Amino acid sequence: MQRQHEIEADLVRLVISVSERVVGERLVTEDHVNLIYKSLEEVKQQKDKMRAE
Amino acid sequence: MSQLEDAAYRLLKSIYTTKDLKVVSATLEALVTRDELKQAAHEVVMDDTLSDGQKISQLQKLFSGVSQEHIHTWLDMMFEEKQFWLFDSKKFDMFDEFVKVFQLKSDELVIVHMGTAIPLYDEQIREFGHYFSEQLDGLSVINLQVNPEIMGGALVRINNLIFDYSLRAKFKRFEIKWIDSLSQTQEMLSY
Repeated sequence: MQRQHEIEADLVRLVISVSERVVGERLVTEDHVNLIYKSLEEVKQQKDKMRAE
Repeated sequence: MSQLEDAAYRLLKSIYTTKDLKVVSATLEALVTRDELKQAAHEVVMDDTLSDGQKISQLQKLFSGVSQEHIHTWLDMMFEEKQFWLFDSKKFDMFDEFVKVFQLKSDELVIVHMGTAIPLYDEQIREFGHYFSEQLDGLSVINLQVNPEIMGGALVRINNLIFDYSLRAKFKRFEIKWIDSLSQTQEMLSY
C-alpha cells in the first residue's frame, strides 16, 4: 500500500514537472505580462482580505 | 503641505522604479553643485524687464541640458506654473532645500520588491509601479528582480509581507494538494 502511494506521488511529480516544462516553453511575453497582472490582482485581493481581518 | 514638500511630492509621484529614483536622486545632487546654473536662473527670475513668458522660456533654455526625463518634465511643469521660488532668493538656496526635502521624502517611499520570470521594459515597470501606487496607501517604487526560476507571474514583497503568486508556487501548491488527496483516498480505502 505504501509502495503504491509512493508510485502515485512520483507520477504526480512527473506530471507536474512535464506540465511546468511545457508551460514554460509555451509562454510568450504577452502571456507573461498578463500573468503578472493576474498575480498583482491576487496580491490586491490578499491584501484586502488581510485588511478586513 | 509646504511648497517644498508639494514640489518634492510631485516629482516623486512621477517615479515608479528604484532604478529611476536612483538616477533622479543622483541628477538632483549633481544639479545642487551647479552654482553657475543656479545663479543664472536667479538672474532670470529677478529680471524685472522680462515678462513671465520670457522668464519661462529662458529658464527652460537654461535647464535644457538636464536630460533626465523626470526632472526635465518636472522643471518644465514648475516653470509653466510660474513657480519661480526655487531660484528667487539670494539668501537661501531654495533648490538645495528642495533637494534635501526630496531625499527625505524618498526615504518614506514604500519599496515593492517584485520578481518576474522575464525582464520588462521600463514602460511596463512604470505601469506596474503606477498600479501599486494606486493600490497602496502611500507612494511606492518598484525594485524589479528577474528570476527565471519562478517561471511566470510575480513574487511580491512589501515590507515583511511576501505574496508568492508565481507559476512555480502555483504548480507546487497544486502538487501538494494532489498528493494529499491521493493520501486521503488511500486512507479511506484502507479502512
